[in-house]
Amino acid sequence: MKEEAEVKIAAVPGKEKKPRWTQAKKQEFWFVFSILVLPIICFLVFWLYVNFDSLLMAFQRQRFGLGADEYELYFTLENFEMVFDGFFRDDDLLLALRNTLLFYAVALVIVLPLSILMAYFVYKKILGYRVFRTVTYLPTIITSSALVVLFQYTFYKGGPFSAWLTAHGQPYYNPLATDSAIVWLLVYNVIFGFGPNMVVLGGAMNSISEEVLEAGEIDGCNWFQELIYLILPMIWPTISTILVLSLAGILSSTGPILAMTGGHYDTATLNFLLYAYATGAVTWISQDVHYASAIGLVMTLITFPIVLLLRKFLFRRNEV
Amino acid sequence: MEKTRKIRKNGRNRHGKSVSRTVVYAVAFTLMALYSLLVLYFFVYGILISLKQNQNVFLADQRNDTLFSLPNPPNFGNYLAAFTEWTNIDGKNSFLMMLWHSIWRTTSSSFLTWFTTALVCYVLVHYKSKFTNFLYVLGLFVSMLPLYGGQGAQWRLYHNLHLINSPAITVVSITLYGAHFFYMYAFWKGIDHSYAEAASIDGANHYQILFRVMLPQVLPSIIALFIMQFITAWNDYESTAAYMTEYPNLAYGTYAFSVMSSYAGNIPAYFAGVMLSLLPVLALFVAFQNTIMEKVYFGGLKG
Repeated sequence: MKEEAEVKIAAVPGKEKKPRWTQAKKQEFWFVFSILVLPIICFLVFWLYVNFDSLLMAFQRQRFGLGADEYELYFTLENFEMVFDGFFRDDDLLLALRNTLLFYAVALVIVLPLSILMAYFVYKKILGYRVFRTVTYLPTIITSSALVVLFQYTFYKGGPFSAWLTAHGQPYYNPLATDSAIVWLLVYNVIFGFGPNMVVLGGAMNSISEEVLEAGEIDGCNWFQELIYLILPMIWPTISTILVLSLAGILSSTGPILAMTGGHYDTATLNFLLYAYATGAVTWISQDVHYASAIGLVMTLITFPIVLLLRKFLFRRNEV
Repeated sequence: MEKTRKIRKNGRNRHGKSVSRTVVYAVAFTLMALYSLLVLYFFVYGILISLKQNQNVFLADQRNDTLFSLPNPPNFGNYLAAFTEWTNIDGKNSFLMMLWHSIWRTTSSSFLTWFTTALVCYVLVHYKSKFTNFLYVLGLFVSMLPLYGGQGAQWRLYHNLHLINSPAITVVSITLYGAHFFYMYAFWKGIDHSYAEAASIDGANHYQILFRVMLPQVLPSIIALFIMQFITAWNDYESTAAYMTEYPNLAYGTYAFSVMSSYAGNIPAYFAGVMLSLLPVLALFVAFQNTIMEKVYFGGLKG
């Protein structure tokens, strides 16, 4: 009787006991394993470990004097004292924060709206749109070190700026070697900064259904109404993504600074200082990996909640 | 005539377009044309300097504020001289050496990043499990996480692993969430899994399904991403300045010149080198422009 019951249970469809580790499962497992194992190891070492170590380094300093190339690490809050001084006493970090925010503001207030307008007219296939699209994208594919050299020589003695000053009876000066250098760096970013946004916005606009725009046209929408009331709401998720990524990359505005001014003339941004202190690649800034980690940690703590709030706000609007 | 007048009365021109629209498009065209001329000016300026007859003529033009002028006669020989001129930049590497470093470093790093990202995304899309879902969510989290300051720890790790100024540093190009991760993911999602199932029924193993059935379908799209990855790596001078100064690429050569306090060489020949260094990416872009624009520009992140 008991045996019959067992047989009945076993016969219920879907209740059959499948072998857990079939040959097919094994093959699938080893395939997935072979693809993922190396990238996962690299991720663990070069991302997870690096960021964890960076957290520790922010609370460490090196004590030298133990012999050639030998040092001892000790835990301290000295790095954060230095960061505090950098913001409130020496002003170098405060200045870098100001520059970083300036780059961010220009990207959002000037570059993004102009990118939307340019992407719109390219999308509407304005006369010569293929040329505009290519020319706008051109600076994106050219190394910024070459663009910087060409930009610098515009302002060097003998270049068009120098010729213009001479023609107007003004003595020559190089604006990239003055306190106004930051303004010219912003100008550089505007001139050469449309490419990436154009790519993303162009893709978003091309996904809009033509019927919607045709309906708008029948209802008498002019170009401005079409852009504001039809296209912008439909590409808002893309704009939100750009806004969030821009804020997440608030410290990644090194851009042309390294090649253009090397951080001189009060042009350093926070990311430039992070790069300089972390790698020692800037001649006038001594390498200090621990200080760099502390700056990075402070900036992460400041930007993380802002990014989360912005994401929540922007993506809630998308849902509406 | 009467008809035209009527149309114009309704705010339409003879093509049936509104007058205000025509005006706006004309203004937009003018502004975009001016912008295009501004961008192209920089390249023209570079070419003009590169064709100056020699360093003396360059210096004379500099004194006379006439650097932006047609060289008379143009010296195309500067483009040959560039191959030796660039040794003046770091005292060790010629233009050809930097070109070679650009080629092997760019090809290896961009291929590794592109290839591993493509395979990882394939597995995440077509081999759904709790683990692969977790990896995808982790990728979303990592991409949105504003983590800064890792460069110091990264430098120390590279230093301890003896990766600085070593070709072995290419290994860091193997990434779980490489550049264009979400593009790759989207491309794989667009491929129907039933092809893989059909191949599986026919007896193909997982590798055959990937490389013979699935990859060829997505290849045109992801080749555009490889080209973009290649261009980014070719143009990267910051990581060279930080980690690979013994193996300088052409982008680094241009950067090193721009930060030199004085340059005791032939500047027109140097500029010829700058122009030459742009040719590979320009050629690549021109050759694959349609692929890049169609697959990324038009098929990019959807709104």
